[in-house]
Amino acid sequence: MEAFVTLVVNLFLFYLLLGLLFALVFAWKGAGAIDAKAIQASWFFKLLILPGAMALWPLLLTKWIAKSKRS
Amino acid sequence: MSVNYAPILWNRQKKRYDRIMLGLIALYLILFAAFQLLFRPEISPETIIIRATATLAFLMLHLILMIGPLCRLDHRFLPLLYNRRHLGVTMFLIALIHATFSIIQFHALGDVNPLVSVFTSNINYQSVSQFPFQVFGFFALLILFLMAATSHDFWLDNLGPRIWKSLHMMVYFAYALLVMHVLLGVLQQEGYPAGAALLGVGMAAVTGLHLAAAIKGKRMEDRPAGTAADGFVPVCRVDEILENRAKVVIIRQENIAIFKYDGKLSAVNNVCKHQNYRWVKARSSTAASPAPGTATNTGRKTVSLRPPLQKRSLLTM
Ligand code: HEM
Repeated sequence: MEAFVTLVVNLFLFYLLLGLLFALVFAWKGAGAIDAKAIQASWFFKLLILPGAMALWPLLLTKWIAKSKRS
Repeated sequence: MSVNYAPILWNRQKKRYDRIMLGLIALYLILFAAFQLLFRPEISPETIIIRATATLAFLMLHLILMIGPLCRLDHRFLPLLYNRRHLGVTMFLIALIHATFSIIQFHALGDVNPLVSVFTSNINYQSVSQFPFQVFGFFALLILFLMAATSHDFWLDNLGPRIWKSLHMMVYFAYALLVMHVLLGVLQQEGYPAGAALLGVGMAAVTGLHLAAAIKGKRMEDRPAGTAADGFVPVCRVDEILENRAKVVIIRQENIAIFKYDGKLSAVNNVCKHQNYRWVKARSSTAASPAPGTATNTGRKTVSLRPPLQKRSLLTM
């Protein structure tokens, strides 16, 4: 049981770590790429969207890729 | 419409709302700690923090869940709805303090990863009275995190109203998990029947208000659903809506607000931005021969709506 839970928790933490790396780039560049209203947003705004980007990164990544393909 | 997103939308009313909220939170925490120190001096400061933040966050969640139905029942509660978002994020932060202190207190001292320990330190998953109740708290916290993290308008705009709304409807699932967390946790403590009784009162209030609001909504909905061939549904007389005010009607389970301003009528379905905001078409006509099912035959103008249409439509009376 413990080995299984450790595996799941580690996968979860790995997902969040990837999410954090993605979120830093997303807050810096991606948010503005998918939404013009975020291009000139403040640092505080970028900080506020960081946790959400970390959690939902696969969704945002697909949106970002789709948007850059279109433009 | 602003060109850039503001980090936090504050205006005079929202600042007042937040000041009152923070004042009440501080008052609760001080009173809770004072009572514990007075009546149970053997309890450690960490336990006081764990319990004070736990009960406060759970209380705030009840309030948050009750605001919606309260506003549907009586418009005087609308000021509470105005800044519910800040209330929700604050509630999450307080729950996070509770969870962090609990994990440090109960799971950080061994050599197992504290998060793994939440799931494995107690493995009585078959027992009711000894069930590892903290697991429920963990999953509820995840949901509350997702909601708090996506509360900015940026997320509503970019996830789309449907995904955003489904995400935030998960609050009811989080509430159910927390009821289990508290109920099973309380069962494991001695002399806590008062806690169970309080939980019962809270659940009754939340479910009772939701039921009452649903019944009221159903009553308002008893309107004829599109009698005219062109799909227009007569809903009220023009003079029933005051100038610069709105009247809410429900047609085919859609909440529709009809506004009157500058001698014009305008209708929109669902007042909140996150509720699939769409304009509906309105027209007014002289009810010389009203469609069957409408009560008016006064010769005065009737407002008719045709839901749902994507485009906004204005109408000059
Ligand atoms: C990882 C997440 C969580 C963990 C590890 C956790 C842990 C605990 C523990 C150990 C207790 C018993 C404390 C005691 O009586 O000394 C407790 C009680 C409680 N928890 Fe949590 N919890 C978590 C999440 C939450 C969340 C999100 C809420 C909701 C807002 C919450 C609300 C409560 C409440 C209301 C109690 C009862 C407090 C009392 O008996 O005085 N918990 N939790």
